[in-house]
Amino acid sequence: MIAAAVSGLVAAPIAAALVIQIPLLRRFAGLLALLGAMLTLISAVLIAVEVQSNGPQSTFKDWIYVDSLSVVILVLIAVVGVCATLNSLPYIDEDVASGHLRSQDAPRYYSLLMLFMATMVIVPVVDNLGIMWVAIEATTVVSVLLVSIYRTGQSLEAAWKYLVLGSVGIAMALFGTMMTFYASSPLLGEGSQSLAWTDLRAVAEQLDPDVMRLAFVFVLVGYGTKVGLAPMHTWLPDAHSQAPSPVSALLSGVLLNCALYAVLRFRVLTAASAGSDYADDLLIAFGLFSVGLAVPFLVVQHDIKRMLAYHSVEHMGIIALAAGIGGPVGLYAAMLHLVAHSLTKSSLFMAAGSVVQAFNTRSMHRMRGVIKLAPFSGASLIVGALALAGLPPFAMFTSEYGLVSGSFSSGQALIGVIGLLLIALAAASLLYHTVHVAYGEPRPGKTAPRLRGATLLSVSIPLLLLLLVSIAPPAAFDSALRDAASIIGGSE
Amino acid sequence: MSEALASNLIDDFAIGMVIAGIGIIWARSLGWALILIGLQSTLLAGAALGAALATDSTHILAGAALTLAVKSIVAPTVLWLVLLRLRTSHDVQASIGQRTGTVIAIAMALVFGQSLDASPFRTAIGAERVLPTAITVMTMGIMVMVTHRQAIIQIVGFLMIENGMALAALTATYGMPLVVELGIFLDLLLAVFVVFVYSGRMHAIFGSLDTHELRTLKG
Repeated sequence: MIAAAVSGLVAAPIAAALVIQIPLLRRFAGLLALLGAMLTLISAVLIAVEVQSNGPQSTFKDWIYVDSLSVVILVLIAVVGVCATLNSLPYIDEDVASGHLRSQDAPRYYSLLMLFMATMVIVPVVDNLGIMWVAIEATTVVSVLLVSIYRTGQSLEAAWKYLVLGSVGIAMALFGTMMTFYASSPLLGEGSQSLAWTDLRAVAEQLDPDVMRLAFVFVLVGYGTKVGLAPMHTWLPDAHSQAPSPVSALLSGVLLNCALYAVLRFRVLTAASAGSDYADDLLIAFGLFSVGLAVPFLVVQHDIKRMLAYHSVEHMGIIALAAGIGGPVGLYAAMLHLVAHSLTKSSLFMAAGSVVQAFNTRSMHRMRGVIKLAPFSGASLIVGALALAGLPPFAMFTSEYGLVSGSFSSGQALIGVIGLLLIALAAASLLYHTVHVAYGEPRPGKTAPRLRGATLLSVSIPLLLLLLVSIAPPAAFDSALRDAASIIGGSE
Repeated sequence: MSEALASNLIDDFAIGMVIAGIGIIWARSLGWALILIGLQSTLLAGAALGAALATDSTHILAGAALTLAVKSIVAPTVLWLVLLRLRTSHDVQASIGQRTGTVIAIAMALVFGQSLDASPFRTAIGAERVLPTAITVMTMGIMVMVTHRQAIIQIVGFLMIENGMALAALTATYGMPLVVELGIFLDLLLAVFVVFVYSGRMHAIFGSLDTHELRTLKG
């Protein structure tokens, strides 16, 4: 059962990517991609149900391993994947109609989108840290082609920076992975089991602490580049703002999680081998620096997509900070924040995408009165901004409260307070910018864009899910987050 | 082959890789840089071959063959094809001068070679000089990426980083498991392919491969 679900998970998007390229089927590219994404979602949900009822699962001769931490990341990828594909249907049609995208590039876009999903879903389900690295590097290579799909100078610039910085960063992560292998091969032998997370976890206490500390630094800097932790984040605002908006939703909403997931897996090993303080101090330092660095860029920002991208730097920093503060409360807060950020940010990017298309600019100075011209997009921008700013009743209020309370109970109150002040500044600037864009008088001569059903669905589904987990979290969701937090905490 | 002989051989190949690295920083023509990166990769494949023979390991042998195929032949050839196809200037543009760059590179090699302590990594094959040289090669790769302006030579820098890392992996752990190595080479091939596509577009849009054109996105 689990083997079939995992096969479906990976095979569905790859099959969709290939079928789209059959000449006769090219004009159904969008629908085929949607079908592929839906099948991925169904497989992900089946895996989640299996793990919920029967605990962690291994299959394919132990190459695949899924536990609650994998499931949280996986279901998010699948949900945001379906929404982004749905959102692509009107978005890409509009881009082709307005001449921003060549019509022959549309099937290519959908194929790449599916391959991008396929590479992402592999990350949380493989047991082998080496294969995980290969999958994460593959996400870079595929998504780079999506970032540059418009063939303009600026999109090329963004894609080039992303490719070069992403590859160099991730090369550092490979070095860290190699050191882990070096530490484990005396214990586990020179075969691939020496990189299998489950085997490593079993012997983690015996891994050489000096080597593991060094390995974690390389892993954190390497994968941290992909997570968008400052100061390695410089590619992120460029790539996330130049990509088509549904792709931005995927990049920001779930790709960052994939890299963070890898860091968290290594954190467990490092903490068991060298004590948790070392890894946690590093996470706190990078987390706090990311939040702090994002603030000035957020305040002066005028490009709506760059603003959202800098908020990703900020929120990844918050998650790293919460994970670094640790303890059951801090880790639960980190996981909750990760889920809430994925749902909110993907919805915001897609809402912003339709506004950008309607106004034909990304500059927030030239967007006024969105709520009058496009009531749905305007309203979802406002709701998304309130959620991202961490106001109650949204889940980010709970997770940020958890971060601060975790920092007090673990004797790191100062860190919690500094973090909270920075988060408040970022939230204030977000609300300021959003209110300016949403209200006010639209420029004369602007006509209201037509709202498409697919846009409506894709923007509102993540927000509705966010409301669900914020106000009445289902018991299964809560227990999955608790399990995931205890896996990162190393107690399982 | 005895382990002692293999160990000496790997040390020599590693030092050869550093010299090739200095050569890349010294080179003023992109063609030379490509030849030298091919040479450096071949030396890496040689070191891997030595390790494979000393340990009778087929997976290191496979790694050596892959290195030779992908890093010595395919990658430099693809980059060379880009140069031929685009009819662009073959002169290296760097933000530091030839002499300064070369002096820094040599100084780096000497300082790292003398001072880096490789003792946490008691290398499996016992080649003592390898870890410091591997880190030297990686640092030189980063230096090339930072100081050189054309897209092609930045990728040469990236290949240097990869080579340094592969050298470290080879001596510290007899290379990674074969499945992982295969994946790494696959990713590398894909990345080189993307560079091939992008350099064409870059030349079409900006009329050169100078990455200084890529400076409009800020803030």
